[in-house]
Amino acid sequence: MVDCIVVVSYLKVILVGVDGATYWVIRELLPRLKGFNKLTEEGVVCGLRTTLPPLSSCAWASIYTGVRPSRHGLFDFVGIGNDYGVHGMGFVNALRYPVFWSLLGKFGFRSVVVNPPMIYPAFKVNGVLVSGWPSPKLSVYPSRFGKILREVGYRIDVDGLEGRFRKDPDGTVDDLVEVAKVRGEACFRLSEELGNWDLMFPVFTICDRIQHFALGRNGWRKWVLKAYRVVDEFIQRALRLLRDEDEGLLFIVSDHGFQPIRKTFLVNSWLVKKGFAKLRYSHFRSLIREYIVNGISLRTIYWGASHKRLASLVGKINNLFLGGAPKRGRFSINDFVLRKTLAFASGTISPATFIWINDDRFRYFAIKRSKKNLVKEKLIDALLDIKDGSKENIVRDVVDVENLYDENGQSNLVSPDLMVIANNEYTIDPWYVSSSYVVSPSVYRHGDHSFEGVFAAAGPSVNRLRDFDFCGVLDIAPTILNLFNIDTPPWMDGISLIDPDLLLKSRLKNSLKIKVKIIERKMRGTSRK
Amino acid sequence: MGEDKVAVYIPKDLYEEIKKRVDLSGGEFKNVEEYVEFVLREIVKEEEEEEFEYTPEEEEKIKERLRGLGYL
Ligand SMILES: [Zn+2]
Repeated sequence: MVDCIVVVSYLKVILVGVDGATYWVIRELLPRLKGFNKLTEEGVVCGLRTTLPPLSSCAWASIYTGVRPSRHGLFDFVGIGNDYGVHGMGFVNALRYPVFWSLLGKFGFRSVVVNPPMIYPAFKVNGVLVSGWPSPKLSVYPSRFGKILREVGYRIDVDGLEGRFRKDPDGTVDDLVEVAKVRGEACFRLSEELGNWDLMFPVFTICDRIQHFALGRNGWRKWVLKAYRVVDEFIQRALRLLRDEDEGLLFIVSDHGFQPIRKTFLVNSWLVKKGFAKLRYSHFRSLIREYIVNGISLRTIYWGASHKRLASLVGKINNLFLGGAPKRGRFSINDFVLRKTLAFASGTISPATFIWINDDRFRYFAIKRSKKNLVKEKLIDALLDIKDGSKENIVRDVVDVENLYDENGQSNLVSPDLMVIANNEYTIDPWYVSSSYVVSPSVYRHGDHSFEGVFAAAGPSVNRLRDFDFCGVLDIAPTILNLFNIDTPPWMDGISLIDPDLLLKSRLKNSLKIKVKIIERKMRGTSRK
Repeated sequence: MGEDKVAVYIPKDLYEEIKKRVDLSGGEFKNVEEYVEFVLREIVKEEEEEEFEYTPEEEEKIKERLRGLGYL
């Protein structure tokens, strides 16, 4: 665990959010990253434990609120309704717990927050807020700052990445670099325009995008380096700015790390094979489907360019049955004979995904709630026993989450029963079915999330840190608040990394504690349960 | 006063202050009543915006972004 950060004084804090930034990758690229080098010399760079599941929606929500996923409820991007429909889980805006920059604002501190994932629309803040990925459209508060974004050519993200990476990887990487550069520029311009800011908090998504595609591929470094370089340039500029501004602190935080993926576990295919679920297709249709699904693994050969004929064949098959090459052999829960399906999986493709027991919370249930524990136990045993080939276990752990994630922000969603966590170098995909349940990764999934992100702290006001090796995403919000002399609110699960004895009390406001209480009461008053 | 309106009383000095602004607006606001209504509507609108829900089109756009990254 982290010992503590010793703060002598502060003026400004720059918190650089880097979606998917990974400790081991940074260590490997370190000789070529000036900014990160400086951080290592003058402060600390270490691993950061993320949430379960290690997804951006879940982890960023914990970073902003300091609250565990089981309490904030945003544990995935999408959830399942009782009609088996896939619905968005909503944004952080709808959660019960306030984000740390809103709390800062209540104490009079001004923030410039750009592209925080899962924040949409931009809401009223003390400062500037630019909505984050995956905003359906750009939203800015106050709206007059939209002019600056238009001037610099601001974009939320590069759309349709999976298809673009397939066609033109180098061009796509360059486009992502451009989006990130503009994001950094926008952040400095907005801060300048606002003036007198206390916290600058941009979030870059480029490392996530490029690592998904590049990690685990030959020559991954050339692409991945470009992602970290553009972030590194921002860090260098931010450090210079803090130095010019007298005193200040720079932090880096990521929502999860990355790992190369060797195999994809098709969890719904496994459920079919083991008799927990039954597919609706006739034998003939499932053959066609499997042919299309196999396109995923064939498409990896697409990259070799020497197998052009094979690639064009896959393209033709896809065009024939799916109406376009980019579409994949997708599968939905309604493809199951639901009355004969005891369990099904859904959620975002990642090394941790969810299983629901098809009990009487659902429209076409196959089992009564009172009897589902037996199925659950059988499932857990069977999942932990899955081997890839002769000896390798695919599943690292299965967690009973039925009562953990009972609050999921939206009343129309049904809570999952189990969370399946894959072993290293595996990802779990609930969107395909095939006769084999372990396949090669798809084009965009040669890299996927891991449980160790990165944390860094440096700047003229941070002394050398003692025995600093690891901390968690939950600790970020309490730490940021403490930097501004705001006590950790009682609802937060994280622990501040700041040494309380060494905080300067000069800027402490008398009304501080009273205000925290008021905020807490208001929050409880609006609770759903 | 129209049928769907009710009277609200405000201090006279505030009324005078607003009247000055109405005059300065160069015809943007016809009278104090219109000015007050505009300001209050803006405030109420902001309140409403906090209770935001996204449309089916927006939800589809969000899913499209997730699919674009191969997340779904
Ligand atoms: Zn990701």
